[in-house]
Amino acid sequence: MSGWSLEDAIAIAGGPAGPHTCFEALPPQDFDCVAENLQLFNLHLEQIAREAVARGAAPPFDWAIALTASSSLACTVRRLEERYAILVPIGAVARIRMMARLLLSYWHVENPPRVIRSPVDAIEDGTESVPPLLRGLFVEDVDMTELRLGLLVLDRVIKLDPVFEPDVRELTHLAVTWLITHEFTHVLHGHFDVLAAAGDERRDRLLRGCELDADDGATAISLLVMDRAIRMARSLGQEASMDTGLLRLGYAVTMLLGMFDVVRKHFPAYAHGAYNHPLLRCELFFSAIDRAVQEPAEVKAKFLHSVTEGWKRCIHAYDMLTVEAMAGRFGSLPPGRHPAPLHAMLYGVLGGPTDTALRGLMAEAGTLLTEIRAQLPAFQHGGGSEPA
Amino acid sequence: MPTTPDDYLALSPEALDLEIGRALMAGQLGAKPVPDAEARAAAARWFEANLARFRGAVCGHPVVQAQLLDKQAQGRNELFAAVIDALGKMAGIPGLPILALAAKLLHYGLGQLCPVVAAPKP
Repeated sequence: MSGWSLEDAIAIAGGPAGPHTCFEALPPQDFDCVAENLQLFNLHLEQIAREAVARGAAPPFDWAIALTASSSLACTVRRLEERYAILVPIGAVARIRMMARLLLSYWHVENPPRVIRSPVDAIEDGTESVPPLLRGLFVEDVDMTELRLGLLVLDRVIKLDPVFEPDVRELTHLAVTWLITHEFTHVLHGHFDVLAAAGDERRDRLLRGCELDADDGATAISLLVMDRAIRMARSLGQEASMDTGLLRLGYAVTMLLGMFDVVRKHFPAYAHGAYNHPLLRCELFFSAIDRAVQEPAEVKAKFLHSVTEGWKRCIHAYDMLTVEAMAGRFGSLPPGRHPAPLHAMLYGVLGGPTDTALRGLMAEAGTLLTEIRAQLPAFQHGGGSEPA
Repeated sequence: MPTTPDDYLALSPEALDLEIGRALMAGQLGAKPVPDAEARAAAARWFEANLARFRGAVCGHPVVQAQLLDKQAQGRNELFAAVIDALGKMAGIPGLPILALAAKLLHYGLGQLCPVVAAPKP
């Protein structure tokens, strides 16, 4: 909807967030760290926008990124009169940080059990299958008070060696920046204009294609920004490694997508609508990494190994979390509710029909991405998001 | 899907918030669907933040004033129509569902919205 000011957009999204919005669930020093990182990150986005405008891939545009006092996990972007607003709920940041703390507490677990359920099986779980202590992480319908208290209580039961704190911060930063670059891609690639010009009968398919393109762009831009940040750090004499960065990126994006849907974990649930299944989005993330890394074969193989290692570690941690939740570590379920996998990243049963289904969905997504990009002005003038 | 005034007046405050919230968020894009709870919360926040504007637009309407002075003066549908009329003339609510907004104002209570209308002297 046009006609709103930035202040209107922020107010609708919960009002501006401050260092004390989430209290201990996101301590003020962590809030300040997130806010500072976003400012630095935005400088990279400004450069990417300038370069895209210079090569004619996008018209000049302006945007603002705001942290809002909302408990939601859903970042959004909206077009205002003269610029775009990228709105990041502070609840999303707090949830991501706590999820990183929780999952990293399983870092040293060797050979965790696998959660066996195929995403081909159309089983729908309710939010009642989420144990009480994990509701703040996985359930969307919680208000800010419930979120704050829930995360605070969960924090008390997480036993994480303080040595992981830099990793927690970095995973939080990478997951949040991937979300922001997803929204930024909607703007950079002109999705709003394409969708506005589409008739009702084409809009749903176009929207699904735009979401695919935004995921793809988010990965390419995240990689590009990481590459630039590492070069900058090295030029200042600081230690920085692309391998570690990629491992963390693979972990962070897998973790984030695993938080996206606690109810619909089967492929058929995503046959329609704007979004693909989180597991499919994770696979497409790897495709995007593969396309975006333009290094000699040997270096590229090393990079892909790092990002895959991050994914593997995260899936192991998610499986451990599910097993411990089933064992009752995070509280009891209401009478009559059965334990269920907590997330949609059901990689435990790949092979056979699940593989066939996944390959079919990947092919469909690839076709749609090609189709949508043929209609995007950004791809008529020297490509959309730059490769790293 | 509500279509008639009776449909809207029969909706719960939560259902009205959901419709208003979805309209407030129309056209925005994101990496995942915005949950119903967030849409309802957005509507509640926006409604609270705009009470003064609603007061300015609605409380002076003759039908509303008559209702405030004599609780039996107007039927609910007449009052609903008057609030729709007043909101229709209000600027700054582009694309919002006026019927849902009017129904929400009736749920909120016109007496609570317009507390300072004085009774005429006999």
